[in-house]
Amino acid sequence: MSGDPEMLYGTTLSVESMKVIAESIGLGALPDDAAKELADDVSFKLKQIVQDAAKFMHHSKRQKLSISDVDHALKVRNIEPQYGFVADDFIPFRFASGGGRELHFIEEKEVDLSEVIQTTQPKIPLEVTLRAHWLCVDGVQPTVPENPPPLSKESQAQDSVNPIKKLDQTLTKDVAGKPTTGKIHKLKNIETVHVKQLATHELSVEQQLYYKEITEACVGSDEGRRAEALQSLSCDPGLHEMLPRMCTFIAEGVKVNVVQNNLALLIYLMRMVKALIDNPSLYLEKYLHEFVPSVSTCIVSRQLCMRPELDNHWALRDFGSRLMAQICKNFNTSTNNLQTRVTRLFSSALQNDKTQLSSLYGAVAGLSELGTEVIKVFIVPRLKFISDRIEPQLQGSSISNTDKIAAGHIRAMLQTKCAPVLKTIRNPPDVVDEYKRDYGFLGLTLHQAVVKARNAPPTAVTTTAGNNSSSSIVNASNTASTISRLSSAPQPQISTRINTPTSVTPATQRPISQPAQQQKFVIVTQRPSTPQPSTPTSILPPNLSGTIKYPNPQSINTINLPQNIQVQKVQQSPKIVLVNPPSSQPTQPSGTQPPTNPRPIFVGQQEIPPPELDDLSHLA
Amino acid sequence: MAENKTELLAVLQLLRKYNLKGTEDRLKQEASLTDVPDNIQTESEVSSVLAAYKSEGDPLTYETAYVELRRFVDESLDIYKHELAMILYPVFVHMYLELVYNNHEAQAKKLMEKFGPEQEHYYQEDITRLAIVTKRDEMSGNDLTDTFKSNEFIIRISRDTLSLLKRHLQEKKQSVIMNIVNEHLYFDLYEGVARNKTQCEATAGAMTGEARRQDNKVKVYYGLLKEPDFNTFLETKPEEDDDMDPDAPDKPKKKKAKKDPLFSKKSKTDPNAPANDRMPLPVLKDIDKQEKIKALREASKRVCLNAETLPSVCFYSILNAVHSVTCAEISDDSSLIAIGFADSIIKVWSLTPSKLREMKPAEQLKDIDRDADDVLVRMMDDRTAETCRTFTGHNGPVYRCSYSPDKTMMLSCSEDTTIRLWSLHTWTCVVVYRGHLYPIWDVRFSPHGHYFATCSHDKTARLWATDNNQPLRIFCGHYSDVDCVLFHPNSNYIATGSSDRTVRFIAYSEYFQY
Repeated sequence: MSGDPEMLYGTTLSVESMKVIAESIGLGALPDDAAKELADDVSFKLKQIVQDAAKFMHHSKRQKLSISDVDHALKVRNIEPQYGFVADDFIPFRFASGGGRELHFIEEKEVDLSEVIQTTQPKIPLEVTLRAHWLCVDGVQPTVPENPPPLSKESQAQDSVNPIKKLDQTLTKDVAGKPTTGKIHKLKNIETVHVKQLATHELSVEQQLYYKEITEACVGSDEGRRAEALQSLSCDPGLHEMLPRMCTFIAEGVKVNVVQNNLALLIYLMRMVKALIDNPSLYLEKYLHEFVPSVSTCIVSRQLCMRPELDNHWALRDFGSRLMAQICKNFNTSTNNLQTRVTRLFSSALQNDKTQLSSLYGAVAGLSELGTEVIKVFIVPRLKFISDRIEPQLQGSSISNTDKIAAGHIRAMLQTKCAPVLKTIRNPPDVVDEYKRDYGFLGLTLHQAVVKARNAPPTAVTTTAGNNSSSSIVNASNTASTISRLSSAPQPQISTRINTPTSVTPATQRPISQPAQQQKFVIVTQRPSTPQPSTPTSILPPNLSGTIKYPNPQSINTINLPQNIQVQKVQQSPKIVLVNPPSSQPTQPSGTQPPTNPRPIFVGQQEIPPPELDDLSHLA
Repeated sequence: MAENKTELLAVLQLLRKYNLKGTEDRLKQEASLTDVPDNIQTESEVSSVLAAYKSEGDPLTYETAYVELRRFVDESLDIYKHELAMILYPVFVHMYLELVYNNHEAQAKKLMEKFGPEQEHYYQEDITRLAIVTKRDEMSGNDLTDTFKSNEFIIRISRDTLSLLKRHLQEKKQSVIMNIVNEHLYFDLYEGVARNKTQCEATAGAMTGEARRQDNKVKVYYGLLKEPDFNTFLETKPEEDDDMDPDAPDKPKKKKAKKDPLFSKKSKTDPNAPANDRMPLPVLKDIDKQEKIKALREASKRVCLNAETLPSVCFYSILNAVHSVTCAEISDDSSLIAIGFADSIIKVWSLTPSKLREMKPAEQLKDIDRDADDVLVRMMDDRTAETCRTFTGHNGPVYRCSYSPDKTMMLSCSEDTTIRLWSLHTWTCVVVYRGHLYPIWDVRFSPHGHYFATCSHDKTARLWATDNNQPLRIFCGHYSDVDCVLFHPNSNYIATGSSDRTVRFIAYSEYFQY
């Protein structure tokens, strides 16, 4: 009770409330005096009950008043509890105002009983269990997933920025759990020059074992184990001691496999990168010099697979582009100028007319993931140049089938990525000839896409900040492979590439506005039992196998590649949305469908989180 | 009218008391009060009704009176200031209640809004509760206002401070404050220097003011009980061994050598300890003594925590219990954990590798060799070993569990106003103790077993013995819920904590007439 009028707001029921309640039970004209009297009395009694209920809350060691507390408070006062109001979830109070009146209400939906009866019974709740873990052992916190990471991200960042800190640490290292700087360096060493001993990355036996298991699982053939290993990489705290080794493993692996054109392994390695980036307890800045070349290799390399005309290396390039965008977003600082350097790398590929079409595709993909501004500045001015490059291939004058496919991919990519940008920078009306003049051969396609984007109902897209486009739908049925992609939220562009020119329904649009963290990239290589006809598949030659050799002595792995490689980006959102209607199977390159194809499914499909509760912001 | 009637009745009572028959009859006639039962009200009620907040004072003077009092406190000398400030809160509360009682709702609210927030922070919770009372009708039956109305607010005050205050009140002739001070405040006078701020705050904050000095004069035996003589126990024990096992003659010697340093020094008596027979306690059985010795040995092995020897901490999480855990209790040897849930069940987990076993049925128990050393182990049925067991029986959230010292029993208390005694051998409910009228907040076993104490929303704490389904003692006195209860380690006292912001330390053993 303070003099603050804000606090007193709503502490008594209003006369109007009383009248409304009276009406609801059939009392027409309640006099004002009576209503006032009632309002005061009811407010007082309610407050008393709430005060009592707070006692029950307190004794149940809770911070939040629950319905059962109120029931118990009523029981203590010998009043019949209010049955039927028990709810597990938080029931939000809706608030509406208008015409100078304010109204609080609870949204109650009508429940169709027959529906309730017909639905399958909900699962029995899980058994209550007790779980123990060591919070600390002899004052040292063990690195188990339950505990917070031993080294905070900030201190890892400090480590990488300030070399002196590391020096100081070596003197007092013993506190940090693992006495890595061993007892060999005794006091007299401290007096002498110390700089050389900086990096003594001794791994314990357990860590070595872990490293071996993880790396083997990540590049092995067992998809289940790989999923587990990636899960571990993306969640476990305390991996920072092994991080240098992991980075070397990835960098060397990419070097070797690019030469060998081993697409599958490259994909596995990129998934490792993704997992490491996703790990909230790791700070990767120290290792960017290894990651960035590896990832960019996977984006722009001339050849990534044995048979470029058949294999879906486009998926790897797309995936790599998104990784690169994520890296730029996470680690770009004014000192390392990461994004500038990456952008320069990609755009130089666009300047050079000797660039292979596959590399050109990679460069365009990499740039377009970096945001609208980048597209506007670096891609749009080069559209004519690109048009000139791909025109001969698509006009049929090309000899090489590979180039024709590449050109098709580039066109489809530009169509989805550039249309939303063009829509904003060009004013209607859109004239085909102008487009042709400005963008050459691609003008027609772009024109179509822009017109479609403009016609799309603006409300269909739940816009996030910076989104200025609706989805553009592209007829990509002539492309050799298909990659089902939902949007990538980090990008301002929302693009949906699907195989038939159907319009995207609002239902599929909704998850697009989900924040970026909720997205999961799943690259699926094998599909177990449940067939999902709507999942587009891309086919690799069935008997692709390869051997990789690593400089590291222990890691020589012979890997039999699974037969399908498929790139899927699944959003972890209330629904998993499949864009492709079942009927629209992609046109597949002939003769590559292996009859012994293992049955497909998503692997590593994430548990779907419960739908979010309504917030009240839209009513306020 | 109802209020009028009580007043008339009170006047009648008064007339009767002074034996003014004629006037009484006239009054009855005039007010048409027929068939008034005799002695409807006790004397104290008469005075309380007559005195209660009936004030002709102008509601507008209250605020100025309070402001003046506050200024007087602020401007007084530093040594008296803090003690004088102690009267502000009770004066404020009673002013508010007087205003409410006399139907000056607007003024009361204004007073509350203006001066409520400036009261000491430890009063704020009570002030919030008080502020919801804005009408005369709401005052009746309200715990808080009843407590203020029927109790004097006790303030300990030095002679100098009090005379200062009295002089001020007489000078100013503030009838409002004079009335309140006379009616509702009790000054516990003491000689000497006025207290400073910390000294005042150390004892302030309770709903009914401070404790009288007289109240805390009783001698408290706070020492620990003299432990039973373990030496003799240990000496007799090996002899038994000798009788039974003549093949090992060197054993007793070893034991004698070992036990001395640990247990011999205990034999000194603490001068502050109560006599061992002050409170009738259960006689220790051999097995209990063994347990005690084991516990002592364990305790002697404990390592002090310091920079070199840091602690190890094990963290237990209850999974899948959606906001339903209401209490958790780990046994003092860290072998069991009992979790009480809002849905009335209690689950007990074993925290050690040894599982929770059930006792064998009576027929099989007959066959067991009762003299065997491991008779306790043999009694248990290995086939029933489980890591988790559930107690079902309560009918409301379980607010506390408490293990008996020998860990064969467990008590639990619940919102359903019952206490249940559970056996950790048969894993069943053994006794249901009824007696409390309202939800029970806390239950604790005595450190020596046999007794246990409970406290409840019904403002009482109770002392029970496990062999009796009626409480041995009921402790009244708190003005609000008794939220927690705890035994003194020597089992001679109980401390209770209550929502009236007091802790009462109850010496119940004086009344045991064994």
